Amino acid sequence: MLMELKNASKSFRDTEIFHDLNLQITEGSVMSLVGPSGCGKSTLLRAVAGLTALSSGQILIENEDMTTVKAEKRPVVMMFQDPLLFPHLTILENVTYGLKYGRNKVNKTERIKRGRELLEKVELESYENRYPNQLSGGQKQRVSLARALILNPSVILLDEPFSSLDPELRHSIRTWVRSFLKRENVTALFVTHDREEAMILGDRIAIMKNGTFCQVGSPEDIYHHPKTDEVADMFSEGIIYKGEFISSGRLKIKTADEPAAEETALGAVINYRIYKYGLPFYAVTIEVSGQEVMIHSDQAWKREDEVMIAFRPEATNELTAVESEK
Amino acid sequence: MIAKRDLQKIFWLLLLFLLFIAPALLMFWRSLSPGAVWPELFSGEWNFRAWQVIFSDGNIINALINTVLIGAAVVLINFLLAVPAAYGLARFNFKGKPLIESVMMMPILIPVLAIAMGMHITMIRIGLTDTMTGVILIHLMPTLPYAIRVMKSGFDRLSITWEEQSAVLGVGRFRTFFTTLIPLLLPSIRSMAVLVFVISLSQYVLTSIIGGGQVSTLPLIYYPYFNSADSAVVAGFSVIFVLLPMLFFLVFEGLIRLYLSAVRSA
Repeated sequence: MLMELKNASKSFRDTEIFHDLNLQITEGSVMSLVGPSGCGKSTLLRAVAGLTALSSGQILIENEDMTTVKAEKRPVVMMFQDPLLFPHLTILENVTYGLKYGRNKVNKTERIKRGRELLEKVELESYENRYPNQLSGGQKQRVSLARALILNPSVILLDEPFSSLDPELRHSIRTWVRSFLKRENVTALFVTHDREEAMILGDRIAIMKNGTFCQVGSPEDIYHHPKTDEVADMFSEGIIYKGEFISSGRLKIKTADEPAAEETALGAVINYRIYKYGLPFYAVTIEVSGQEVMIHSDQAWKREDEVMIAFRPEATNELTAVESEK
Repeated sequence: MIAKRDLQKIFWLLLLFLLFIAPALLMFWRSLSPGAVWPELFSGEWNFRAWQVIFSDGNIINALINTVLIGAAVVLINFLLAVPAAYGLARFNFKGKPLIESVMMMPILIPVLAIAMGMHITMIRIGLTDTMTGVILIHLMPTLPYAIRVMKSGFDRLSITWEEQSAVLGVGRFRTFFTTLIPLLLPSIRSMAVLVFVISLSQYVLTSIIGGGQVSTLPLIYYPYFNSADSAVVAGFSVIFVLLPMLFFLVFEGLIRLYLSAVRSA
């Protein structure tokens, strides 16, 4: 196991930020940490980086206890929301900053050689003598990534590194980062509140709320089989019916007389239609529960149409009892 | 046809020139041509007599050197004291912080003369009166509170994530301070240095009490000269006063450049 959390807890004065977190990340894999703001995910990342201390529990990296090791001594690099490139240094000097002043100093020739290598990897080799203010937001984040990876960290921590970019750039850079991390076999812990981003980057996903992990698993697993209604709310698309999660893909829109006998049918109203990925989707409000869900249908429906939402119950997606009481 | 925006620009530049640059130039001209009085500015004769007087007077040269040395030392000590103090105030929360902050502002809230008299007695006891060291120390009084203020707001504006970024890149606090914080704080450091230098340059009472007339600085001999009838010399003297902070700023800027290139090539 490359990185491991054991009963990690953090309180600030009387407020508990997170408690008893256990997590394992294997080498070369990316773990996405998803949750609403204030769920403690950023604090957890800072604790792994060594910028804030755990109240109790342990952080192990490559089987070594890092819990009380200072930030500058941990084999971990964190990337923040902003690229934070040092404005008084050129791009090459920024990338080699850690090799120059950090733990494992490297001589100048070697430093420049490795700096250029990294700049080439992030496709910015022609920018080495520019200053940060001459680069675009996406380029800056790539420099920041190069500056982190030049140190060969055991784990790289990403704290919503795309959130300061505009949507279009965000789209292209996250795909780029994903393939980059995979190509370089980097182990990463990636914090985001964006479900799609979490799925794009993460091999595994941990859903966090109110300072605990609600569910940890593969994107497919969490998407199709959320364990609690909170996870379903945050990460999946579908409805909750009698304590069971029914994925949107299993729901069909039908007229009142259509449903077969073995199907469950719920009264619903069509709100609007959108097109996505080449298919029409209808936003539907279930009458009994008021839940809104997007369902694909090849039939044409109009706004305000009263329809039935039909599905075959399978009872494979039962949510844990306590949390589904809502 | 001149565009309206260009006209506006010309207007502001002209105003700037009239208010700030023209008086200094006029003063310089007066030092060359003492008879130059509005409206007959350029009708009288002109020469370098006043400047010869100034630069052949050993007292003035001595005072000039003292003033620059004291100013530079005061700036340096202010920097060494204000930066840690400001860092502490900006980055840490502790009991009694507001109290400590106001104590640090005290010297400029209490009349300087009241403190200077008491300080004088102490300095006599420890033998610092009539010395450069004594004068440098007493100049800290009207400058340090401002220096701490300026540096503190500098640290306040500087997000702590810069330090954290440096730390996660494996760089210790001490090195981070020199390689990241100081370069990022340069705007504050500049204003601190200029402010402190100009305040030190303007001290008359404190210098004369503690220096006891033994430590001569420009302000101390400025007054006697001012009373002399030689208006060309007075004008020349005033020009020196105007130029000194500018020269200081240029030299300081040069030092900053040196520092930055040292940081980058280290």
